[in-house]
Amino acid sequence: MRPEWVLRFVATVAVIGLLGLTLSGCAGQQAKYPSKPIQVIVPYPAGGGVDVAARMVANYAEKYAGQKFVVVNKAGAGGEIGLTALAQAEPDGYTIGFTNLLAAITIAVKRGAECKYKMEDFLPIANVVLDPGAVAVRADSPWKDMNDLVNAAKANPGVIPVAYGGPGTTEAYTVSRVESQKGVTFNKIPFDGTAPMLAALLGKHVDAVFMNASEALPNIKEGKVKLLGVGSAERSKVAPNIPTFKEQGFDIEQYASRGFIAPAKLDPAKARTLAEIIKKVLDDPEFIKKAEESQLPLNYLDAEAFAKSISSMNERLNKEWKTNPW
Amino acid sequence: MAATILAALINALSPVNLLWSLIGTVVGIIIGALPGLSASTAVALFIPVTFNLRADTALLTLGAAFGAATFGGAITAILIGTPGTPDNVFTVIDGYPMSQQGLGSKALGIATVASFVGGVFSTLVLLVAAPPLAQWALAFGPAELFLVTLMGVVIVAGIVKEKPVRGLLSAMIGLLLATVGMDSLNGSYRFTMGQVSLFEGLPLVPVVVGLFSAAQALWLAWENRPYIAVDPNSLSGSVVPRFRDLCDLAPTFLKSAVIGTIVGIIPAAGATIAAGISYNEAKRASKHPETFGHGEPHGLAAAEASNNAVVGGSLVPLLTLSIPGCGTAAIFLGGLLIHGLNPGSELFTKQAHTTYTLILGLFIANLMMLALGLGGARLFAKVTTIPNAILVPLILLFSVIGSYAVRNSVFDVFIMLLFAVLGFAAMKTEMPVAPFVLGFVLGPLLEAQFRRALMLAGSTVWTVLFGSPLRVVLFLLDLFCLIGPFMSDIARFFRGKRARGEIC
Repeated sequence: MRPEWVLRFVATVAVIGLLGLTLSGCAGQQAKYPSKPIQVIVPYPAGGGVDVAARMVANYAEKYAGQKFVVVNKAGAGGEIGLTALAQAEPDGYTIGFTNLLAAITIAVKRGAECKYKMEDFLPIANVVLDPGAVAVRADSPWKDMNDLVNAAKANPGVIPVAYGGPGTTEAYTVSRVESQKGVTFNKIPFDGTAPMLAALLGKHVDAVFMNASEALPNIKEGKVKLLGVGSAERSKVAPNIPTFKEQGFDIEQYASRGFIAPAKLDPAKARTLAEIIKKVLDDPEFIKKAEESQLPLNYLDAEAFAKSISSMNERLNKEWKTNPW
Repeated sequence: MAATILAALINALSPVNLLWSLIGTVVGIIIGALPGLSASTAVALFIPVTFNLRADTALLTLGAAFGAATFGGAITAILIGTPGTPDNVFTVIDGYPMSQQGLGSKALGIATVASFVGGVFSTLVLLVAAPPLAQWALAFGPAELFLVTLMGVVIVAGIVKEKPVRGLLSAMIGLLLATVGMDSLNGSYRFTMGQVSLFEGLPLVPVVVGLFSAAQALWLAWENRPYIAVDPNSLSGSVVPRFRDLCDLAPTFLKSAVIGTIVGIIPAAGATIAAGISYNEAKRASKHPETFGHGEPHGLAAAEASNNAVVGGSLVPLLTLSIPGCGTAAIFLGGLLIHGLNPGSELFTKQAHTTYTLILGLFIANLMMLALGLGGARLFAKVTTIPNAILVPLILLFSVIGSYAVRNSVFDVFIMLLFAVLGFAAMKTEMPVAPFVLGFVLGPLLEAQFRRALMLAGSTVWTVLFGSPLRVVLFLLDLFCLIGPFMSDIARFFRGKRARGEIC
C-alpha cells in the first residue's frame, strides 16, 4: 500500500499548526476596536502563576470584548525577553501584556542601562491581582511573628536557614531589608521557584521561606504551614489574620502586583476600552467565584491608580538599589 | 472509601469522561510524536481548552494527555530516530536500530506495552500509597537530591562502555554547555556574551531537537537512501508482542516501572534520570549487554516503562503536597488550581470524588493508549516507508516549529540549527549523543543542589555525602550504578590474573 494518506495526515497537522501560529497575525479593518483577536504577552512559561491568572482573565474577557484574548508565552531571562517584545510591539492595541510589575521593575533596576526595556516604555492599563510577599514557617514552629524570627537570628547570627528566590529577586529585596533594618543575618539558601522551597520547608531542610502568600495557602489550609507576616501595605484578603510587615515595625512593602500593560504609545481611547473590558471581567460573579476558588487575590486598580503604584514602586526600588542593593 | 471509589469509577466511565480521555490520549500521542513538542506542551495546550469543562473531566483530559504524550514521543524516536524530548533519548538507542532492521512495528508493540505497564504501575502506587510516599519524599533535601542526580550522571560510564573516550567527552561537553546562563545561586551571568536569550541557559528543547531530530534529517539526506527501513516491503514481526517475549521482558518492565515511579515521586528528578537509570540497570542485568545499542528489546522496554512510570509518580507529591515532581507536573498544578482544587488532604476527603475519578480515569486512559498504540503500530510503522525525500523536509519543518514554539523565539530556531550541525558532526565521528544530553540536562541540577547542600549550616563535603543513613544508601547506589556495569569485566580481570598465577 502506498503511504499517501500518512502524508496527507501529517501535512494536515502541519497546516493546522501553521494556521494556529499565523491566526493572531491576520490583518483586519479598523472599524471598531477590538475587531480582531488581541494577543496577550505573558513573559513567563505556560502553567505558572502569572500565566494561569492571565488565562483566566483572557477566558472571560472574550465575553465582553467580542474578540478572543490569545495568551502568548514569551518566557526567558526572568521576564526580560517578553517585556522587551512588548515594549517594541506595534502600539495598535492588538498586542498587550500581562505581567508581575514588581519583577519587571526589579529587572530594570538591577540591569540598569543594559536592560532592553525601560518602565517608561509601558502604559499601565489595569491591575488584576495583588499577592503580598510573605514569610512562611512550619505550623509547629515556635516563632509566632516576624520579631521572633529576628530574635532567633540575633541569637544565632548567620545560622537560621531561610529559602528565597536568589540574589536580585523580589524576595531577596525583602530578606535583605529585614537584615539591614534589624541588624541580623540569615543563612540564605537560593532556590528556583516556590515548589522546591516549600518542599525544603516541609522536609525541615530550611526553617523559613520568603515567598508569595497565595502560593502558601494550600499548605496553610492543611495546617502544615503558617505565615509570620505579609508585605502588602494593608492586610491582605488572602490572609486577613496575618499582620503586615509595617504593623510589626518593618519599613518594607513587597507584593506581586499582576496586571495588564501595553506599549506606551497606545491610543488612550483604546486603553480605556481595554480597561473597561477588564473591569467588567473583574465584576463578573462567575469570574470572582473562579478566582476565589483558585486563590487569586483580586485587586482591581484603574489605569491611574495602577500607574501611581508602579511609579512609586519604581522610585523606591531605584533609590534603595543605589544605597543597599539586594 | 470503597463506595467513593466505586462512584468515582462509574463517573470515570461516563460517556463525557470517556470521550475527553480519548481526545486527551489521541492528541497527546500526536503532540508527543512531533519532534520538539512534548508532554508539557500537550498539558499546557489542554489547560485553556478544558477551562470550561467540569473539574473531573478537565483533569482527566490533562492526565490522559500527560501520559499519552510521554508515550507518543517513543513513536518517532523508534521509527525515525528523532526523540522530541530528552525523555525519549534512551528510547532511540535501541528502538531506532530495530526499525532500521524492519522491526519497527515490533518495537512499537514493545514500547506500547512498556508504557502501559509503567503508567498502570505508577497509577496504582498513586491510588494506594500517595500520602505516606509523599511524606517520605520530603526527606529529600538538597544533599539527597544531589546524590540522586549524581546517579543520572555516573550511569554514563556504563552506557558508553564500548566507546569510553568519545562517550565521556560527550558527557563532559554536555556538563560544560550546561554552565551557560545565569548562576541561579548568586545571580551572576556566565558565558552569555550579553545575549538576553541566553540568560536562562541554552534552551533545552531547541538543543535536543537540533542534536537529534534535525541532525537525523541531515544524516538521512547525506546517506541518500530511499527509505529508512532497509527493506520497506518487509515490515515483519507481529505488533502484539508474543507471550514468550513478554515473559522474557517482564522483569525489565517491572524493574523499570519501579525505578520510574520512585524517581517521579522524588521532587525535581524527572523522566530523563529515570530512563537513564533503568536503561543502565537493564544493560547491567543482561546476559548479553553487547547487544544494547543494536536493537535490544530490553533496552527499549526499560526506557519506555520508566518514563511513563514517572507520570503517576510525579502526581504523588503534587496531589498531596502541591509539590510537582517534574516540569510537566508543574503545569498540571496550574490546571488543578484553575479548577479550584487545592492539593492536600482535602483532595482525598472533600474532593475525593474528583480526585479518584482522575486516578481511576488514568487507568482507562492507559488502556486507550495500549489499544491505540497496538492498533496503530502497523500504521505508524509505515512512516519508515515514506520516501526520505519527503520525510527529511517534514522532520526539518517540525524541528523549526517545535523549537520556535516553546518561547516563540527565532533565536531558539538558530540554536536548533547550530546543534543540528553539531549533531550531524557527532554522527559522522560516531560520538554518542545520549551522554551529552544527560550532562546537559542534569548539570545545572547537580551544581545547584550540591552548592545548596553545602550552604546549609554545618555542611561539609563529607556530611553532604554521608551525613545521614539515607545519604549513605544513595551514595552506595551511586557507586553501584558507576561500577555495576563493569563487575563482570573486573571479575574476568581477576580470574585471568589468578589463572596466570599473578595473584594467589
